[in-house]
Amino acid sequence: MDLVEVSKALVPLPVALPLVAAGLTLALWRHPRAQRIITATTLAVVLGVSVVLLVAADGGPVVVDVGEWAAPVGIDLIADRLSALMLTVSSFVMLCVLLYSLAQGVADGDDETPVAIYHPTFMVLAAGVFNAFLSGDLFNLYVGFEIFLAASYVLLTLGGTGERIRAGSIYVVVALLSSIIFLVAIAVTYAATGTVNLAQLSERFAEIDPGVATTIQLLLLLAFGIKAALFPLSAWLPDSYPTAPAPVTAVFAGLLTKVGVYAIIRTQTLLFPGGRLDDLLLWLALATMIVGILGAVAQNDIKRLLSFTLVSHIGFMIFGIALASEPGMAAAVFYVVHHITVQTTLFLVVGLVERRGGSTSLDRLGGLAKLAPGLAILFFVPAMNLAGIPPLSGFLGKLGLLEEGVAQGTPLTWALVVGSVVTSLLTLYAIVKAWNKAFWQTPPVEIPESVRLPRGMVGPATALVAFGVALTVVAGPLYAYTERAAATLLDGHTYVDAVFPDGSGRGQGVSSDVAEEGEGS
Amino acid sequence: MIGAHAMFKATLFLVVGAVDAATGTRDLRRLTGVGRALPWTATAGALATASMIGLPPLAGYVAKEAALEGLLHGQGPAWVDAVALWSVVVGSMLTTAYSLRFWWGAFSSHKRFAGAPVRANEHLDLRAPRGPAVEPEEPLVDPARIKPLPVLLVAPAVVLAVLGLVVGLVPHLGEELLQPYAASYPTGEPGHLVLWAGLTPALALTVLILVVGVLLFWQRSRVERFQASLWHVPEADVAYRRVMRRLDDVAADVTAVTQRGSLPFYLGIMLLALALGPGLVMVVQTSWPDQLKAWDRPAQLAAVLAICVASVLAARSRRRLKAVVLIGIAGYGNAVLFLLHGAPDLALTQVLVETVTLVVMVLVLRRLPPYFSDRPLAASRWVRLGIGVAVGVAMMGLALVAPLARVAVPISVDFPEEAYAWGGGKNIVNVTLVDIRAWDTMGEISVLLAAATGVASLVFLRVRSGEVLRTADARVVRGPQGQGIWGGEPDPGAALRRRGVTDESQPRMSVWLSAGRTLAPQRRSVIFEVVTRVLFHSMIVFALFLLFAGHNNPGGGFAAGLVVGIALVVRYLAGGRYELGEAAPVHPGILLGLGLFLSAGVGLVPLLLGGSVLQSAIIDLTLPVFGHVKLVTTLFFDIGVFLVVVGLVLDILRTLGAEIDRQGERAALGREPGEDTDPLSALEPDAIGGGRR
Amino acid sequence: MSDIDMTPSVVLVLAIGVLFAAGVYLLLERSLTRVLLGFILLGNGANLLFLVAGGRAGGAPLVGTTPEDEMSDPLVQAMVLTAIVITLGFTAFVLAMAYRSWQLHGHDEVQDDLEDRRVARQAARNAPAFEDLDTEESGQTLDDEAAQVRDETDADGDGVTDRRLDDEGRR
Repeated sequence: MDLVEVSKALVPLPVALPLVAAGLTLALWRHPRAQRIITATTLAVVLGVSVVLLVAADGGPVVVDVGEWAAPVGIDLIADRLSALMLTVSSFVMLCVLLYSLAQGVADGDDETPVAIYHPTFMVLAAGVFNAFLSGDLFNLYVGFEIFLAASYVLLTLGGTGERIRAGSIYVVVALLSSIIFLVAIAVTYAATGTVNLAQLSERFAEIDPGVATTIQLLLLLAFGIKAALFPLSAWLPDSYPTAPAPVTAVFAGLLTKVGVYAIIRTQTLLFPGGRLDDLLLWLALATMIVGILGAVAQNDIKRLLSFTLVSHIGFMIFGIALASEPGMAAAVFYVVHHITVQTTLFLVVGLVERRGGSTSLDRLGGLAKLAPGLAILFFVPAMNLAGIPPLSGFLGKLGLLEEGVAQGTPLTWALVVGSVVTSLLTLYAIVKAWNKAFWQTPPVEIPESVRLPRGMVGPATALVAFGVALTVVAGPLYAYTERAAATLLDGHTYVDAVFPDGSGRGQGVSSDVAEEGEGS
Repeated sequence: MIGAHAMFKATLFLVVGAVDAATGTRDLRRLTGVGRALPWTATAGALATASMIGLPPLAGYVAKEAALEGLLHGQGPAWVDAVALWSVVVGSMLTTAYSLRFWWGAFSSHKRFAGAPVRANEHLDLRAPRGPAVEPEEPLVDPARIKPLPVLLVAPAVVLAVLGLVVGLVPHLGEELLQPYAASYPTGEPGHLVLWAGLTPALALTVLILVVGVLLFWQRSRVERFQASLWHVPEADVAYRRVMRRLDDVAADVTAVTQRGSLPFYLGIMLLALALGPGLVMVVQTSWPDQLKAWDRPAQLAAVLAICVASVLAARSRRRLKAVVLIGIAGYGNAVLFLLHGAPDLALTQVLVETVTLVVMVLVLRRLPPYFSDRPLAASRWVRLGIGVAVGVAMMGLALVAPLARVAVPISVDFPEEAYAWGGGKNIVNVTLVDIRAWDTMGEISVLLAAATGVASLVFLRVRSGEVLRTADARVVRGPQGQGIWGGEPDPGAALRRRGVTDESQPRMSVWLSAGRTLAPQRRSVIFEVVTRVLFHSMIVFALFLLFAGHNNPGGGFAAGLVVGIALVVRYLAGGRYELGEAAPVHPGILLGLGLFLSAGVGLVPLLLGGSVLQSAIIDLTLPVFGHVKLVTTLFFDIGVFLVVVGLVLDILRTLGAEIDRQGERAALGREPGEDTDPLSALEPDAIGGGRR
Repeated sequence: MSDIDMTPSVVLVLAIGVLFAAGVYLLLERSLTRVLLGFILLGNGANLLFLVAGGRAGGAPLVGTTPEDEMSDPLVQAMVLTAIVITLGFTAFVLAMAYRSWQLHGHDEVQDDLEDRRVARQAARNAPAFEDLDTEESGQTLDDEAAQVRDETDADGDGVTDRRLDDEGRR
């Protein structure tokens, strides 16, 4: 069996394995040890699978028709470069977060039952995210969104404190509305085209009334824009994320918004090439950057501050998408990878800071650089990475965007270039402020001299910090990979040809052949 | 250049941090003799400084050399290049001067500088009080009191500095790493990094820079005086602070406007975007549909009228229960529309779902206040109404315009044939659910699993779920009020007559449902219990029929699971929470878990057999009683779906029904410390985390 | 042209419009129960939209019972069924959240975010977002601030308020 054959068998696993694990861990809710082993093993296996797919997808998209139902009739899963890259990064990040949260649970001495639902829910979350990355079908993409949203509702309201219920209410209701909008978009899409298969849609949208196509494009953008936290649809995020437990916030911040960004990339490039909405996207990107980072400057709680930088930096990715050129798209994809890593890392480290300093409010922290120099480094490196200090990966991504913005040279892209630079400076300002407050100022509140941070929590956080730095070291090959990914995204036919191999309009599944035979006999 | 820059700047930051940690200050005027106390840090600082200056053979030199070279051979207009070149040169000269001053000030042993304003390290020191107000009156730091530093703090700086040296010496390494993205630059040929490029103009410039820089450093007091005369109004320091203050103000103002913290505000924006974005594009860019029909079937009109009236009344209703019932009516109206449209599976599921929803809502709402709180919303009511109408109109527009835009044949035309030939079933909707789009369904039941665990975690809080309650677990609970399970009017005598107490004396009422005795007698209804007893098993049988017949007739795992769920609802309503335990003595988590495990696991089996995930197979069997049976393996998948749905309904009943009963009873009987009904107990940090609150 | 008559029927479109309008009206409320009811109406509206998207009404999609060209579109039915069941799960979850909210606060209304209001007040006062602790001690802690935020729904009972504030205080 060659790599393609193997990878075909592997494509469904990132979704199916976590779901099996979710079922198993829920049924085994009385056995926390078994749960831990199952979940950690599952994510590790998924990570391995993702890496294989990453390699395989470089030779061309790997497509599977689920249940041998030939493509537009059945659902197809497709791992192209973008999907495989997102899959790899997110499974690694999730594994780290899982290990971190396990250590946190153990350290808190709670072998009790809430962990029992944590594991299945976390697995469901993982399955949903991975499904969204792999799906080649619009309705299945919706299902993927619902899967991880359902899990995220549970994780966000874990424990049911007043604070979390309030934050959870905002989050849940906003997400429900975005799901309804997504559903409406799918209904309208089916009404206009008679299909929900992405590859087929990319052909059929070109054939229908452009007015209707633009309407659908806007509907989808709205649905994903809410999830990706695009201004003015972003205000829910900083209100809801910071209240959750640190590992949960870390996963949400790192991954969930990026699924929205991924969906925007996928739909805008595949379904609606030609960039009818690029100017709108550029404006949105600019507003998201500036409003988001001003929000960060106004905060004095690290978690909230980071949530606002999260919103702000979504603007960079949208900027890259809206440039609608290979260099722009490559930079955007690179930036997504960078941002998943660095944002998750920061939230995990802030979880450590909270544990060490007893708070995340900058009015209550101080002097941690002396009390916990190791922690200071763990915070400093990703923080500088986020601010885009060279030569870290954040800088490289931004550089790519600026280059391309300048190269396109329209007044609007110039505005974006200036906006990006301002945003970077303000990010640096906000981050340095947090850094100075938390790590250097005289502690306003007594901070205990010796609090041991559990090694199990520091380990994954360190691994993620190292991974963030490693992104810089391997920036050359990685950037080349994202450039190839961008090229396939924008050429418009690789994806479709992979789903419908011989131009027949049907996938590789055997169902169509069987049906034809049946008709013949 | 940038790589080198990063290395020396990062080093310098780290060095400054280290010095601060060791001495407690970063004020150059107060530092002395640090170099002797912290040799490693000083070395790292020196290397980084040298690199910043562009002293060979460090990375900074190589990079700067390359930059100068690039500018000398620039391709832009000549004057631009010239300006750029000389800016770089002058900038570098100044850099040289202040870098030397920095290092000298920080690490050397010296008497303090004579009252010089400290500006050189401004960008390094954002926080320390400075400016004219603070004259350097503070004592010098005593070198003897400098604390030794932990290795961890110094090591990164040293490593980075050495890295700078290495990169300088082996420039090709850096070039190799950087080349891929340097190559993507739009203009100019990729620059090359070399340590020694011969006697070039760039080298001459470097020498010039170094010489002038050192000169400036040497004559620093004169330069400083010159600076002071040039730059006294306004103090850069004050200006900087003012700008930052202004920035903070603007940030707060903008955030106050955009970040209102109000859910209706956020939703309003999204809905407006929905109505105005796609809505307007549709109005502007598409044409009014040229063909319309009033209805497919006249009966639709009646259902639609019912839906419209019910939903408008529901929106106006101030009573919770009334609103819920009206919404239920709208839901049943939808079911009728489904049926009229030719979708019996959908209608069946909708009716079942609507029933379960209605019951569950009533179960919860009986605990909430009967009326929605009265709020002064008159002003916003019109806004909400406006947004509502706008969205409604936009949706109607979509429904009118989109279908007529279709030019292609829908993919569902292939469904009947393939569903029968490859899926082996006659009910196409069911085949679609469990086979064609089984991947969706697998995701969907995992949504149910997550939702069910979420409900349980919110109601049970700390414990995923208590034990399964059986009749034998019923305890006599006495209390001041006779608030029974159904929360009716207090009945003074009820406490005496309640569960268990009158067990033996009421034999005629204990036959039909074993847990019926646990209810207060005024809540019991013999007829209801009898009917339940009779109905329950027929419903289970009916559900099994739906499950197994679903592949060819309306039905399937969802419908079957919901029927079992409703059977459980009936048992619970008739017999209370202990009866629920009797009816389903199994933990819902196990049902949910096994269901998903079965469905997803069944999906993986074909992979092991060399097929595709979730691939189905048709097995022809001849069984003794049933004769010839055509078994499609998707049945196992459907059983998983069935289990999950049953688990969901059971979970909901146990939480939103039984557990709320229990909490309500406890609340009525007065709180017991440490129980869930005590709101404070919910605030304890939960296990997974919240970390330290 | 497609095989299936796609002409939308006006009564269905009318139902979609009314369901969405009423649903949005309810969704913009503060009470979680009403929000939930609004969500259910929106879900119903979206399901009807799918029905319209499937084209004309027809016979039940059962092979052998209905001729193939008279069947109603089975794909939309499968999608709607999925959506209905997902909605059921979320309905239960939001209900539990409403119940929990009632249990904690004595009502089921979604409150405004405290931190956001703090920033808004700060902007109104034109106070610096960030006190420099080295020069001046910041006057209030977050908890004091939180305690000062008046709960707009706290008209009925003091006990409720106390509980709520205690809740904040424990953060």
